[in-house]
Amino acid sequence: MNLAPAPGFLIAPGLWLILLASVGATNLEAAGQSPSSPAIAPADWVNDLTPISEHDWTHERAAHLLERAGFGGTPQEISRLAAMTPAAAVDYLVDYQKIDASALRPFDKSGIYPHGSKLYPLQEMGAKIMATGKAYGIKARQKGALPLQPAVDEYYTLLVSEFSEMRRASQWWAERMLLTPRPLEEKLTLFWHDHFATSQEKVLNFELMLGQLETLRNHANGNFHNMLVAVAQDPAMLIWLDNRANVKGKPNENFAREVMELFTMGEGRGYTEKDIRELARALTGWTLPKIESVSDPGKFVDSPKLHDDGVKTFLGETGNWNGYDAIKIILKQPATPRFLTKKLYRYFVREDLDASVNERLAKRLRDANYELKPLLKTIFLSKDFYCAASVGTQIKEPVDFLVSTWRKLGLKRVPGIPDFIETSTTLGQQLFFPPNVAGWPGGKSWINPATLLLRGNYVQMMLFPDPENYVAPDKVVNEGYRKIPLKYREYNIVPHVWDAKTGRMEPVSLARYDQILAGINQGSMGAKMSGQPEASKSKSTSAADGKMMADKSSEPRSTEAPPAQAGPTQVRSKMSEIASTERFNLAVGLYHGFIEAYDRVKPIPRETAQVSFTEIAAQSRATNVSDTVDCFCRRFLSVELEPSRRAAIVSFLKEELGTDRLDFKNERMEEALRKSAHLILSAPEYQLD
Amino acid sequence: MVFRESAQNRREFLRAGMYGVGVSVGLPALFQHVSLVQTAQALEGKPERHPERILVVLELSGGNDGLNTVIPVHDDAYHKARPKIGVSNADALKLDDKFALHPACTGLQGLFKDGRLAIVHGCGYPNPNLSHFTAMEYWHTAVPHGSDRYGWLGRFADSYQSEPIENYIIDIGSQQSLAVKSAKHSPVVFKDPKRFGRVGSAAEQKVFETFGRVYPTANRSLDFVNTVSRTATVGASVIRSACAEYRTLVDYGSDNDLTLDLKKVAGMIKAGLPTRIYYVSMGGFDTHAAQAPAQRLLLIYLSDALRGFQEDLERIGRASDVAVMVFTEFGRRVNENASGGTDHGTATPMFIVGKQVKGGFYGTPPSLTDLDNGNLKMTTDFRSVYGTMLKEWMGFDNSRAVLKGDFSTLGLFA
Repeated sequence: MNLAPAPGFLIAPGLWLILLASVGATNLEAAGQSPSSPAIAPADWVNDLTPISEHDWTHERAAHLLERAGFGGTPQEISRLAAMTPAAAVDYLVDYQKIDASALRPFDKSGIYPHGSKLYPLQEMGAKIMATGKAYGIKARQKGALPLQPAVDEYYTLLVSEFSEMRRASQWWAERMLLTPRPLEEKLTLFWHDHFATSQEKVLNFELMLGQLETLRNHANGNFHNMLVAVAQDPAMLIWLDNRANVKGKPNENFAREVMELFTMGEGRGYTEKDIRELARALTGWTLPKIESVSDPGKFVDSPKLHDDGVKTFLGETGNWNGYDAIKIILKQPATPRFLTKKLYRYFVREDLDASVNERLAKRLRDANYELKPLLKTIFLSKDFYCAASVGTQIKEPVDFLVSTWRKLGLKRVPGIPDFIETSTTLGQQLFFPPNVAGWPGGKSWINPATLLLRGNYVQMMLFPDPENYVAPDKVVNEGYRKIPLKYREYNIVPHVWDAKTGRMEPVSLARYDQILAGINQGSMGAKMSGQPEASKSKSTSAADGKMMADKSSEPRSTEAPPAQAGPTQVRSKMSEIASTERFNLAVGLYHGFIEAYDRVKPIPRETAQVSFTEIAAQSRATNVSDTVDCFCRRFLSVELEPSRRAAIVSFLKEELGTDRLDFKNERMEEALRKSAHLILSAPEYQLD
Repeated sequence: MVFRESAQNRREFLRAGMYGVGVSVGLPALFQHVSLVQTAQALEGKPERHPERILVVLELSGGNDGLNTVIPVHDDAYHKARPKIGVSNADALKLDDKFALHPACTGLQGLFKDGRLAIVHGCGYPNPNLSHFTAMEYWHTAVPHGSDRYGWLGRFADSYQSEPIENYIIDIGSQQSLAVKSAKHSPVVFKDPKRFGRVGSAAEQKVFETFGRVYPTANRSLDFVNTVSRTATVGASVIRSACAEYRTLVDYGSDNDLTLDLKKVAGMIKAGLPTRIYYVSMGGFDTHAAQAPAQRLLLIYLSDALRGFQEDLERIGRASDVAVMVFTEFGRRVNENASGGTDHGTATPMFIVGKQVKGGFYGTPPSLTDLDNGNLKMTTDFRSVYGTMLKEWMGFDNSRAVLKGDFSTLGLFA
């Protein structure tokens, strides 16, 4: 066997007897008692918003509730909800402020601003240097070749650091989803992150992005009116939709348009282009001062000087409106509660929403003055939520797919292999980087053949990790840039690679570097399983690359020369010549930026998933192969596994074990069970909850 | 072949990408599927006018400098605006009395001479946006200054083919382009066909085959996932083998991302996939500095690849069934900048290549002196070109719904 097992499942065979003996009655009830197929709800539950009765409350329905109002869980967690009344279970999830969540770690910042400067555009740097001799908190000029290089290096370091640190933050958020005792809080925050979709792509400030996340979390089950005001004044949003540039006399309509189209009323629902212009005027003066250093507050400012205090006619109401007034007017429109409840329903319940249900839910929200909790409770308690059309009919969004998998496995950390960020990105959902202001398209668009296969391959690599050969993608220079030291030899750029032992980027020789890159390109990087996980060169418009090339240089020369001109055989320039013709060099800056940023940004932990399927099987008291497969199906699937698939997995496991009986002393059993779990978790059925 | 599941073998898989014992379901099933759909349409009384036609859309990301691609060589304003990076009349490849191609574009010049290249002047939209991100989104959704969850090609597929067909849209890339995002269809998105498969031993592959079965249920979402799973189980191997087995001696120019991707497309067309929309992209056009050598190389890649693709289609007998539309999110500023490059601009030509294309120039060339903040004023709304491809090429009459407005078509096809 050449298998590299996760240390967690190497338990001496004898220990199983003890484990078996110690399994409590609660666990057995949790995992073992439920019928193999969920009870079918009566047909008349469809569109019935009255609460489900205690009599109808089952383990399956509790599981359904936890899937949707959270990220699923272990049988034990489901049992806890099943033991409550339905109303108590829903209250427990919705009134989550009552649950202590103080054990959750705050985001542990790397400290990417050692010079006290934040990112500001490259084109502004030239002016800075002329005025102050400094840029990005460091002395801009050096003697000799490339005199302005230090400032350019720092620019790229900050740029790469912003993306890198943001990815670390998304790992942190995913871990919070995994560990939180308040699952609905994170699920709602994810919903609002999609609703008010804002991307680090443009904001370029991870602290502001995390600030927005905090705002969304604080209001997640609160009052939508308050949340909308907070979002309109949120610094990341002010950057993202340009309201910071929306000033008297020079209105910018970006936020005004989207707030009605995507955040409240819905496209074509009762507003005109003129309303957009008037709303933009009302919102003038809600702005954000420049953020160039860590001491800049980065806080919303309501500037009377920049506000257009003329009379506006907005959605039929005339007055000297400001932002607060305008938001109140938007919330008075019947389209707004309709749009919001529709979106919430489609996220939490199912795709198709009956018009009269929509109307009733909208009324509920409006009557509660946009308090969200009553609406959420109505939805989660309703018979409609538990009807056949609602159960097992939603395609898990990628982040939910990953987090719920970890939760069902009972993991205590986000697995470091394969990489979470890379996987969720390739599956189509990179946290903090929604594709555009409309958010993720969701639903069916999550699943295409490539993503379906990748979901299964992710599970395979998580359950059978290969730590020795794993190249951590957070420390690999992006594809388009990693060859810079080889292509631009005249600049003597020392190539660096990540050393997990020292925890730093360490220098290597050019020859060695060439070899290492060949290895990466061949796909020894675990992450390569999905094709090209990094933003491909050919679609760089919205990736970091795009930004890196977008800032224009006012300098006479850049190295964006084609590769053919800079091959090793054509090295002509010497440093002295360079010095006479160039003041800085973008390729040098880019590569330095990656190296320095990867040193600045803390590495993502690479612990492998710690899980024992032997233990899971033992807890369910399974004694033979088909019981084991059924136990796994119950634990992981929300819809019944198609019989021929189940049969194929049963015979696979039987074949692997060479017998129909489970033998807890058999050291090979864990591997066989793992493979079976991988098969179940690769099934089409597993994509639904 | 024995597959023991081990880290070693898995690395082998990752390296080679193939899992050896493939589920080699043949092509006939797919042909059958197409004909079933056509039969169904015929029964409904609305057969497609051109069920054999394929649209290939090629995106040039970063904003290609149109003025240095299709060059108004006799316009003094051009040479005045481009003292350093301008192409001289002598070097440029002549097309007609007014316009010439960049010297790198010998392939495109050949296509033009053969009457297979249409050039549409001055494409853009009102009040152009100069951000890559936003401008590209506008071109992807075909909704300038607005937004849509789905792309224009996705919306087209949704209304043209409302019953989803496997492999109807293929997007070659690591991430799905917004342009092909669809409410009903599930575009196949892949970059490397060799890695388009499931990791697992031979015994596990046997189980995976059962995931390819589609059976009726009362759960529409499950039906959908099962359908995609069938595509993944059956289609992926078809795509893998279509790409892997494709051999051509046609010269596409040097090996680069674009030529490799267009060869995949040719391979899939030859294999008879029911794909009607292919999406391919090529990056690197954001030439703010030292533009001349960079753009030269990109244009060599582009124009050789397009010519090679045409020749290859001719070779496999499908040249009459394929049209290629080339776009970029914006052109570049008329005046070159101080770095020997050009900054983000506006209107830019689009190319349509194909045997059935009526070659030549379309639209009005934008003036180089009557500018808007140093940028060209657009003369053709890009949605006119989109509409032309949908209506004239694909035979889709309701392009108004997809493009959310009326845009005149250009009479590009014979």
